[in-house]
Amino acid sequence: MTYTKTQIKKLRQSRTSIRNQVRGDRYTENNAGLESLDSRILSYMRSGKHEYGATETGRSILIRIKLGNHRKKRTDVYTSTPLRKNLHSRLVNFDVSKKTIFQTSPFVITPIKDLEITIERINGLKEENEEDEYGEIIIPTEYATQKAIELVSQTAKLIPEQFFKAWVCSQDSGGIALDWSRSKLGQKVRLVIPPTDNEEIYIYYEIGAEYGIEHSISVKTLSNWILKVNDRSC
Amino acid sequence: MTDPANKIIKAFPPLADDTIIYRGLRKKWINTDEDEVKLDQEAFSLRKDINERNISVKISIYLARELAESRKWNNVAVLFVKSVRALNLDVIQDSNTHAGITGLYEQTLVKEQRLARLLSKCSIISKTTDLEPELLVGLFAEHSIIINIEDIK
Repeated sequence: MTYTKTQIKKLRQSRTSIRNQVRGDRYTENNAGLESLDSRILSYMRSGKHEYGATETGRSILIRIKLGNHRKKRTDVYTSTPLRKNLHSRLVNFDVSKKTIFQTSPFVITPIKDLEITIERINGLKEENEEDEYGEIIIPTEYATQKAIELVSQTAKLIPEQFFKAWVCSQDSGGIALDWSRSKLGQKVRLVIPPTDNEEIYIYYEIGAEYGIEHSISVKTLSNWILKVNDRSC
Repeated sequence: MTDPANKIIKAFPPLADDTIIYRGLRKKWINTDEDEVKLDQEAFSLRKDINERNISVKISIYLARELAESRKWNNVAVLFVKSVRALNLDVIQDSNTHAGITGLYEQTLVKEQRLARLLSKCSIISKTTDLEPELLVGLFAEHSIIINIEDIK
């Protein structure tokens, strides 16, 4: 099938118009969350009749929706607004594999892969079968596992762009240690979760030549330390 | 006397600086996330729950290999006694084949973490199957460390 120049121009205009509907101007302070996406695209996704997926491509998100009718099937690609630092909390987070939209608020784009890997690693500690030097197998307690998952999940939501996967290992009689490091920058942060809530969670950090321990750990403090590990100017 | 959780009784002469010590490594102690494979500081952390006072190490390559194989550890950390002493810690022999890294127990939490990290940094990771004197010489050479094969016990 061939198109005339006018038809091509019209097609281009219609594509631009679709894209514009989901571009940044719709993400406003008063229009946060799911509704900030074009309602038509949302209705496609919510209907359950269409396959869809989202891909983070550096500074933007591509939303692919398979739209079908009795004549032909097509995949429409919509591009979200660029992921500007002050904007990402107003976007929508997708779990492509489960075809669901995260109904959290505020809506954030989480680097699902790194968070999932970290959670998988935490859960994987339960299946450890390696003995230590005393012939014991150290399995983390339920408290340590849940606390670790809670902290990393909330941190990933708070700093979606900067969050990255942690190296995880079991400790003592059921604690968990999580390590975020950038060796080339000589920066690392280690979150230590004890086996029970009788002991204190703490962070050990090394930023260049400085090192130390921070107590009273919250999602905010962990986020700040991960940001520091990522900071090239430290 | 060989229980690493107990305090070491000094019954052997001090180890020479160039003595090589070996510590079996659990899989999770080897961080493969970045380009360079790194040893997690957990490998040199004391177990608080059993009041561990020193880090257990082997001073015989063959027994280190035997222990690692019996525990199904695929890797072993290899380091010199002088590297430990450079951190103001010591390695005290307590049997013909075993020793303990001492000095960590007396530290504050932050200092203990820092020292565990530095110990992991000055270790070389060797595969358990490579714990043969000839192969170890090659491994040291890779890290620009010149060593005589006779020095590997």
